Order: sequence, then C-alpha cells, then structure tokens
Amino acid sequence: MLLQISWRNIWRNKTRSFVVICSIIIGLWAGIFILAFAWGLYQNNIDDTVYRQLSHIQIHNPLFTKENESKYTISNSDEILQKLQSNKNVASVSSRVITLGMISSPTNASGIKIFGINPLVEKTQIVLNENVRQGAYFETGKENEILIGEKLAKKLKIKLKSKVVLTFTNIDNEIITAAFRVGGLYRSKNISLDEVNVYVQKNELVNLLGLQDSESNEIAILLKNEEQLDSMKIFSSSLVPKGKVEDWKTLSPELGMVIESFNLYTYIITGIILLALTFGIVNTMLMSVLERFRELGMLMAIGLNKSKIFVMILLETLYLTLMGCPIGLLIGWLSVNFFEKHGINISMFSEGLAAYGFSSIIYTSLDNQKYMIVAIMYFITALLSAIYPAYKALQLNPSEAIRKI
Amino acid sequence: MFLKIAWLNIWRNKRRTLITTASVFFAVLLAILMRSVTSGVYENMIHNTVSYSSGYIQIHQKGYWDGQAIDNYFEENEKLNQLLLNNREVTHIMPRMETFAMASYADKTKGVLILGIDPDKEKRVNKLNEKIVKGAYLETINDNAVLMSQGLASKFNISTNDTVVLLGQGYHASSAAGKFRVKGIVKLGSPELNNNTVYMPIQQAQFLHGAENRLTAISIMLHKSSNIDKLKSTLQNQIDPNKYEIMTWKEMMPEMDQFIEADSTGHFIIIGVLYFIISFGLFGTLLMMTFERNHEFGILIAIGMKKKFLAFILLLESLMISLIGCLAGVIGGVLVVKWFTKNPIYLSGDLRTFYENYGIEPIIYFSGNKNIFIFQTLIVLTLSVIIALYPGLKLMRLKPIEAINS
Repeated sequence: MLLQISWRNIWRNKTRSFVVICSIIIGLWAGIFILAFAWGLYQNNIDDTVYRQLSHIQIHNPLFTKENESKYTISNSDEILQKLQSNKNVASVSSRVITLGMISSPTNASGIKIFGINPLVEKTQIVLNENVRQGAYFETGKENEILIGEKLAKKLKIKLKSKVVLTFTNIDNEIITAAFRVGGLYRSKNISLDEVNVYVQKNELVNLLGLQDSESNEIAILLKNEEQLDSMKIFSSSLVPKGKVEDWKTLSPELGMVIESFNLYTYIITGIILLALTFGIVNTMLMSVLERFRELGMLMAIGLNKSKIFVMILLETLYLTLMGCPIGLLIGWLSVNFFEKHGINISMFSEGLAAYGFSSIIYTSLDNQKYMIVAIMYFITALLSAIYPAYKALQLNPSEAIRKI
Repeated sequence: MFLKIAWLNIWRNKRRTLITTASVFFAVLLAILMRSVTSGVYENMIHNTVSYSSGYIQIHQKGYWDGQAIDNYFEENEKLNQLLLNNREVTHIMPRMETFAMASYADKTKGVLILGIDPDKEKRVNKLNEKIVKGAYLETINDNAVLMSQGLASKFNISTNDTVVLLGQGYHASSAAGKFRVKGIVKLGSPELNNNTVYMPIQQAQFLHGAENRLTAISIMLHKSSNIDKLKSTLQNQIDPNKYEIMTWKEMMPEMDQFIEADSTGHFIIIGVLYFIISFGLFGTLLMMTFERNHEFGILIAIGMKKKFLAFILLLESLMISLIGCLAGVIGGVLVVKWFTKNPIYLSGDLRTFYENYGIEPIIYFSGNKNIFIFQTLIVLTLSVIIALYPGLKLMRLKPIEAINS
C-alpha cells in the first residue's frame, strides 16, 4: 500500500518531482561527463607522448641507458627490425643511433642529443615531419642536412640554411667535428626537448661514429593496439635477449605522476560534485516535506505511524531516483559518445594553446564499468540524502501540523 | 520600504530562508574548495620547483639574463637585502652564484652546473640537508667542500671524500680552477638537476671565480599564494632599474608556465559543470519556495498589490538571501582552507613516492589565493541573481484566483 501512496504522492505535485528528477539527471550526467572528460584529457597527454615522442616500447643496450655512449649498440638491428615489422601487432618500428655532443654556431654553443634517424620511417613513428615549422623535412636529398628545434636556433642565433658544427666522440673516443646545414626548424609539444634534440640522417651519423650499418642504439616500436603491450614486450625480449626492453610507462615516470595525480584529483572533484548533488536533493526534499506538513499531519492523525511515514518518503525518493538514473545514464552516454567522435575544442579557454603545440581537442571516453560505478554511487547518494528530510518529517506534531497554513 | 518588507518577509519563515541560504552557502563553499584544490596543486608544484631552482623572483644585474655571462654578476648589497626582507610577502632571500664548469674525476670529464649557495639559508627554504643520501651537509658559507648530485656522482663513479677538480671561466676572463672534496651526495627531484649539479658554499664559489662578494642572483621566496606580478611591480619601483633586473619564474621558465596553462585548461570545463549543478540546486530550491508561497502571492495581488512591486520585493529577498549565503560561504571557505593549510592531507601510496622522487611535498595543498575567494563568490552571486529572476517572472504570470484556491 505504501508503494502505491508514494507513487501517487510524487505525481500529485509534478513540478516538485520534476525538480528532483532533474537534479539527479544533471548530477549523474555531470559525474559521467567529468570522468570521461578527465580520462580524455590525460589520454590526450599519453597519446602525445607515446605517438609523438616515445612510442610504446623501446629497446636499448642496457649499457647505453646507463652510460649514454653510442658505442653500446644493439647489433644486427636490421634483422630484428624486419622481424618486428612482419609482426601483425606492430604499426611502425624504427631504429636510431644516438650520441651526445655539442652544436656550435658562430655566436654560441650548446649541448645536444644527436639522433641519427631514417626520415621516412619517423614519419609514421613520431610524425616528426608535422612538427617542421620552417624549411623542409629532409627533402632536399643533400647529405649534411640537420633538423633542429626553433628554440635551439634562437639560442644559437641561426636561421634556416645556416651552417652549424657538431662535435662529439666516436666509438674509439676520438673527437669528431662535422659541418651540417640547417634544413628545417621544428617545434614539438615538449619545448624543453626542442632545445636538446637534433636530427640527422642515420647512415651519416653511423659513418661519423664508426659504427656498422646494422648497428643502432635504440629501437622504438609503435603498436597498433595498446592491449598488446605486455605480449609484445615479451616478444621483443625474445628477439633481443641482451637488450633492455622498456615500455612508455617506465621510460617516462613523469607521465606516470601526471596520471596518478590526475586520478586523485578526479576523485576529489567527483566527490565535490556528489556533495553538490546531495545538497541539491536534501534541500528540495526538505522543502517538499516541510511544504506538506499539513498533509503529513493529516496522514498521521488518521493513523499512519511514524516509521511508515519515514518509509513513504524514502520510497518517494527511490522512485524519483529510479526514474532519474536511467535518463541521466542515457544522456551521459550520449554526450560522451558525441564528444568521443567530435571532440571538445578547449582552445577557446586558453589563448595560444595551440601555438605552443598542445593538442587542444579533447576526445572524451569512458569504459562501461565506470558508468555503472558512477550510477550506483549517485543512486546511493540520492537515497542517503533523503534520510534527513524523512527524519525531519518524523518530528512532526500532527495536531500542530494540521492547523498550519 | 521595499527593503524593509523584503527583510521582514525573509524572516517570516526562517526555515525556508535557512534552506535557501544553505544552498547558496554550499554553492560558494564548494566552488571555492574546488578552485582552491585545483590551483593548490600547481602552487605546491611551483613552490617546490622554484625553491630548488630560481626562486619565485630573481634579481640580477641588468642585462644578465640575455647575456648570462659571469661578467654580469653584481656585488652583494646589504641595503638591497634589507629592502627585500622588509617586504611582508617575502619569506626568504637566497644569494646564489651560478656558473658552468668542467668537472674531472679519474679519467672522466663532464660539464656541470655549479651552484654557489648559502647552506644555512638553503636548508631553511628547501631542506636540502634532508636530501643527502650519503655523507654530510655543508656547514658554513666557506666550508671547503662540495655536494654532488646523485646522478652526476654515479656517472663519475665518485664517492664521498673523493676529490673533484673543477675548471671554468672566472670573473673578468680570469680562469677558475680548484680541487674540492665531495662532502656529501644529494638526490635532487628534477632529473635534469640531478644529473649535473654541484653545490658549493657561496664564498668558496666566489673565491674560485675570483669574484669576491659578487652574486649571479638573489632568489626570492614568497608565500605559496602570493600575487607575484603585483610584488614584481612594487619591487620595480623600489629598486634602481638601471642597475638591476627583476624577473619572475614565469619569465625564466616559460615552459613550466605554458605546461601549467595548458594543463589547467581542462579545469575550466570541469568547474563549468560544477556551476551547472550548483545553479540547478539553487533553482530547485527557489522553485519550491515560489510554489509554497503561491497562496500568499495570490492574496496579496487580490488585495491590490501591484505585480511588479511584488516581483521586485521577491528579487530583493533573493538578493538578501544570496548575499547572506555568499558571506557565510566565504567565511566557511576561508576557515576550511585555513584548516587544511595548517593540517594538510598527506598523500599515500604510489603517488607519495612519485611526489617525493620529484622533490614535491606529498600533500594536497589548498590554495589561499585571495582571487579565488573573490572570483568564485562573484560567480555564484551572479548565478544566484540570474536564477532569482525566475520567481519574479513566474509571479508576473500568476493568476490570483487559481493561486488562492490552490
């Protein structure tokens, strides 16, 4: 019987019920949307690092990671490369030679990290060609071409086509100097790396260093699907038994920190929103109880006992929540899906965001499990927030209540 | 008269007023807390980063930043120090001397950053003494020893009490060369600093470079939530602009500023959603309130009250309630933020290790920046005023007879 009374109660005052249902819908939508947005935001961060800088997996000679000297190589890397390329999980794979050295212009000198790369492969590996702002991406076909960061060029006070001298040691610890011409200037998202990383053609650097053609210092593997990460790490270790195989999480601990902090703050923010929702519901339900003093008093006077009143009010909230939750879920799911396809352009909130090379379009995404967690959390919160108004109704004195206007 | 009627009206039904005030109160409180937490993360990060590197503000000899040469060092000046310390925002000043030099040990030579520091002041600002992993901390400004960062020490394979040779360029083209005992090894948060830093007592550094009493910079530390741009312009008026240049960390480390700006953009959307929920909560409360009073409004109109006056009174009521709620919210916000500043929440687990590795205090820090309080309150106040227009609109369409009979 109580079920029926509460069901009718909520339809007697449609606007009031509508307000409560709406707050639940909006609260649920907000929770889902914020989680999906936050997830999208740091997914964006990860993608930038993985697809434009690190790749999913890198293999080095263990001594190379420690000493950073280019004589510690992975031998027969061509063969390894071929095997990796033929694997169906691999999107792209590239091998590089790396050495530390110094770059000098007529006015200034700076410490740098020289990457010997295969320009064609890096187009798919880290889309390096898209970062080029001035000049061309190794297209002139000339041998001694070098690609440097805009920031480094500014520091060295040089322009496109200027000549620079690179100094580094070869594998026999002899000092090598070589002249290069600036073929292009690039700007990536990570400006501090722009000052340090310069790129030349791999075969040239190999010759200058005195390495074998088949040797390289770094093999970077980009996967088609992140889920294969663990199995591909095992596969890579089997190909290069002596090598050190690392995924992007170990390669970039900073990113790990960003993700971890983001997680924490997402929880805090969700908590704050839950609180806001709670107050919204408590207030509306309290209003609705206080407004109905006369009616509740009457019910009591004709013999409905207090625990039943309590249950009745909780049931009302339950109905309202049950109606709000599915709609909220649906709207949340729709908006997440919409922005998953179309993305949210956040550049309007921050001028010049894109100018720094940050991607300013965020694609929301959320896995199905999270939807359920959020929905259940809101469901419980909504029911809990009905307890206080229901309790308030218990303290009612029927005879006074009836006489109230 | 309207004011008085409105004022009396809101106290006629205290419970209703309290509920509405409470929803404004919580709206302000939550908005403040949210913003305070999100800005607090960055402020904490900045505070810890600049305490090792540049300080919030640095004072150099004019022209130093562009040239960054040793000849642009300036003489330490007691008057300048006093002037800085007299500013209320300034918590510490750290004299610094920064040069690059080649360091040699056994058969290895590497370029290193030499930081001439006042060990005692540094200890107080960034607790450098607690970062020692081996050996001991420097004692005085002329202690004849250096601290080496952990990454650098492992590259050299050097241990405490070994001697390192430093060779660099001194003041006015003199050469700087010296032997120093490694007294301790420090683990620094930033990988970049950890791989190439040598700390040296400042007098030793000045002596090594033949630049007695000269400094590269005075690094100024402030409270976490200070208004840095305002302080910069105050200082600019007090200090001879032809002799010194004043730079903030934003100018010296634009990458970090950009990173923070890019990262915080997402928060705008999140806080936008919060405003949405808050407004809806407020709206719900006001809607209920209007309902409840329909009967009363009907009678008032029936006995000759003009609708527009009544609507105006209603608006005044909402305004008063909003103002009371906002005031209470600000006070509540200040108290909560103060409480958490005094008793910070410590992080645990993975995140704690992450933060500690980076030399950042593992706490959830609530920013006490005044702007947050002012802005958030204004935003909520504006929202509540806009929402308060609704009951008035509703009233204009009220049919007295129906209202009285409801």
